[in-house]
Amino acid sequence: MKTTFKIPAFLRLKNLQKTALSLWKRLSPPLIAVAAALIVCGVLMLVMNFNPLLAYQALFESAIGNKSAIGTTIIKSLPLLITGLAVTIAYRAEIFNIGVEGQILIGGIFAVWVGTKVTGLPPFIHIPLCMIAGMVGGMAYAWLPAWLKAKRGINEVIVTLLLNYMAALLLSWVVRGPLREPGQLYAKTAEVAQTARLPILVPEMRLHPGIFIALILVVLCYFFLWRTVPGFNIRFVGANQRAAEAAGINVPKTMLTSFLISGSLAGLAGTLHIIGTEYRMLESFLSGFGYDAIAAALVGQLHPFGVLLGGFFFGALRSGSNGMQISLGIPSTLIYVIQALIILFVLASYHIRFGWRWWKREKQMDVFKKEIQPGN
Amino acid sequence: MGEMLRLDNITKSFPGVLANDRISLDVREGEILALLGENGAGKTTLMNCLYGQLKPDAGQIYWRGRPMEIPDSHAAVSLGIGMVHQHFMLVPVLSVVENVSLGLASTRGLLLDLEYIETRLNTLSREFGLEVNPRAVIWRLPVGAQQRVEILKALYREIQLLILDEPTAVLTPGEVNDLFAVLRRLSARGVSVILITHKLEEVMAISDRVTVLRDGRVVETVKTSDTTPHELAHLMVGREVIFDVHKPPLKQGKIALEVQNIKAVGERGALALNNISFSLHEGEILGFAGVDGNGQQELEEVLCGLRRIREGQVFLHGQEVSHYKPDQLHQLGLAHIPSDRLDRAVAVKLTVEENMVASHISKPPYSRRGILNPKAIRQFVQHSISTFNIQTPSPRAAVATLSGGNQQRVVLASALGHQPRVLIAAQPTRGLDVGLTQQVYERLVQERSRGAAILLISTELQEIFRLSDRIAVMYRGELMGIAPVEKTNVNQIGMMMAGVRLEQQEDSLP
Ligand SMILES: Nc1ncnc2c1ncn2[C@@H]1O[C@H](COP(=O)(O)OP(=O)(O)OP(=O)(O)O)[C@@H](O)[C@H]1O
Ligand SMILES: [Mg+2]
Repeated sequence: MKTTFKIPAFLRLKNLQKTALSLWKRLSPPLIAVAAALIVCGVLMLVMNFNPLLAYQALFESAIGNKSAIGTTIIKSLPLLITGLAVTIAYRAEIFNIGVEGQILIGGIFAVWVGTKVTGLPPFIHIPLCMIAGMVGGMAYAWLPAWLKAKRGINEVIVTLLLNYMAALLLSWVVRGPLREPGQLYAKTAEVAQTARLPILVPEMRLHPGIFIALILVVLCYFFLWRTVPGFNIRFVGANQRAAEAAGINVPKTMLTSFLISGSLAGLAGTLHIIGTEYRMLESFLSGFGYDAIAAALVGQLHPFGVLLGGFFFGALRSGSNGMQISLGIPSTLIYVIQALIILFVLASYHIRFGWRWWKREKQMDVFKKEIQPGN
Repeated sequence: MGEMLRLDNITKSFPGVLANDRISLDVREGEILALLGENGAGKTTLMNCLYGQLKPDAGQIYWRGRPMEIPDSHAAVSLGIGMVHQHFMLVPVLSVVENVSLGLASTRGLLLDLEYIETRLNTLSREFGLEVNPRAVIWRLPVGAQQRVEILKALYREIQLLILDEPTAVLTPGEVNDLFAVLRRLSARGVSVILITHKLEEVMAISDRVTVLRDGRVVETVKTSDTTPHELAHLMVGREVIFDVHKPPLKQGKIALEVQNIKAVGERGALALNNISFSLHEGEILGFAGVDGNGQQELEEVLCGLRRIREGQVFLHGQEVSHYKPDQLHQLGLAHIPSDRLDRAVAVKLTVEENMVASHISKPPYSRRGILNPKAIRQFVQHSISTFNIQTPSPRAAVATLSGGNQQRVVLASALGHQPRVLIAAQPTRGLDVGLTQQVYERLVQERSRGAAILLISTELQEIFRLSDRIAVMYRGELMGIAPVEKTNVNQIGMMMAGVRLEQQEDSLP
């Protein structure tokens, strides 16, 4: 008998080329945007009399130069990554959940509460309990805007933005009032019980199992969106709500689902940061991470795997900026400039062709006018 | 007549498709040129190249004898080229004047000059018989009026060449006549027109010459007076087309759908359905004729669970379903071909595959316990793609990259894919070429023979007469009457469309 050997389809040259091309098409806008942002920021540094090459070297080294730096980067990336997934799932249903910023905090408060007030449980119960509490908290805080959006058609952006302010105020009350650690000068909550803490896997990196949870979530998110009925519905509703309705998809229910999942993911992001790293909440807990996560999700093109890259990238920027400040005295706020530029460039990269065409048209029109006018 | 435009060997390819293959054609001053071709032949692509929305890979455009590059639509407009797209490009929440003003330089610097535009629009619409209220908001206007706005928008820019991509697909016969009158007036003033349509009678009626495309190539350009519809169809398809549907005699079964005294309110807040009652039997096609905007769309939506019923009841196979949701109706075997493709039927950003299974996705074999079954989905989609001959580079291509007619095929495949018991087919052949229109007719008749109950809503009388067993007409939301097809004629239906009830007509008949 003759056995034939078949090369798997995806390994054939033509398909490989195709994959590479489509990968490049997807990856190039964010990459170009990042490069452009770094260049513009470099010019800015030159103007401010800093050496951009040294600055970027410092940034790079303190982001991923050694083990502890990598650890810090990962720890800062995790909340961005998980919240980025939250943003993605909502966005796929055409919901712009800016409220992740507040949902992180409320989830965190719930988790701290369960982590400090509930005691005497073994870790394998206490840890999941905290995580569930955090998810419930995030979900609960997403419920109002979700309901208003799904049933009443009220714009989620305004509602969640207002709720974010409320969440921040709520946190500052909580750390001063009900959950305050007694006898402390600074307002902060007590640390969660030992039984509620995630084990540290690599001490010099302060690495906790949250990273595995995050990676699993990335895959789950992908699976959910592209391999399940609710995920399909979310994407269809996001692509054309009226066609979704006609196809028999329950549009309000789908919106509610996606918004609530989004909220619970944001809550989980806050929780993992507490039970894995900080063990308590300060007033400044993960402040601004929600908004950064939106940026990470956008740069990751609202695709779970893209968000994975985007999350780590923004985490690296965050942790690298400190190093830049310490070693060269460059204000770490400059990192925010870089971030903002990256977002602007990513959004702009879809329109760069437009500018090119405009330029060409103007040129031709000039020629045309010169040719036509005298003849007329 | 001098030459106005010449396309020389225009070539345009998309990944996996050669949409235009060395196309050459010319348009003379004041000429109406019809562009004919099957779905996906490359008509829209060619026009987009001309209008600056696509960049041809190769070839040259000559405008009044000069080689021209048209990098975008502004350039096209400033040359004097206007285009009305297959899918309108108006901003629904803005008024007519505001839509016309978009992209224009104002005479008053940064301030809008709406009054000036309005007066000019009024003169233009009087001049060309394009009746539109300049202050009306677009989304409140019926399609016919929206199209007039698109044409006015082009005329306002003092164009010399007007491109119309399937303008008649959404129009009623009366509106088509009005449009043609406008085109004749334009042509008399030396404005040239390129008209894309799938309807051969229209080509014969209005055009001076016809250029026929097939698979991205020019097959031939002929003078309209030297050709016949049959020859054109032959050129287009490359084989003989038979214009006849064999309809076996009616085998009426049980009542499948029953509607009793329903009332419903339309988008604009007025009563759109007033006391409508009828029944539809298994194995029967009931055609709803009538000028668009007389309640047909509301009827379609009510029957498919997309619009609330204020009063009255609907029964499906004897079961009351008056307030059922679309998915509950689907469960009971109802399928729907929506009249407005881009609005209700497809999500263009998603793939062909996803669009085709959307209304079946929650049922086995396409999913089990909420998990999709890609294999079953793939199988159904492959099968449908070959049955409906859908031209797409892959099932994973976004619907937006398909030609208009191929998008409609996706909709048909989805609705007809699972042997519906009741089919609400609204404008099922909108945008299809002659060959496929024929196939769809045959398919609908097959479904009827199988015992499906079909409610056909169409603005095309020919279609209604060919397919229906009984013909119903609505006028201003009221049912004017239902007549068996063999006992009625175009005159009678026409009278009903003008608001004369069937009973009244019979009274007056000798
Ligand atoms: N943006 C695009 N990306 C990829 N392929 C495309 C794109 N636009 C058109 N095509 C392909 O090019 C071919 C020609 O399409 P085109 O829209 O020009 O057809 P058409 O003649 O207008 O057909 P119809 O009568 O159905 O409107 C089709 O096979 C279509 O799938
Ligand atoms: Mg087309």
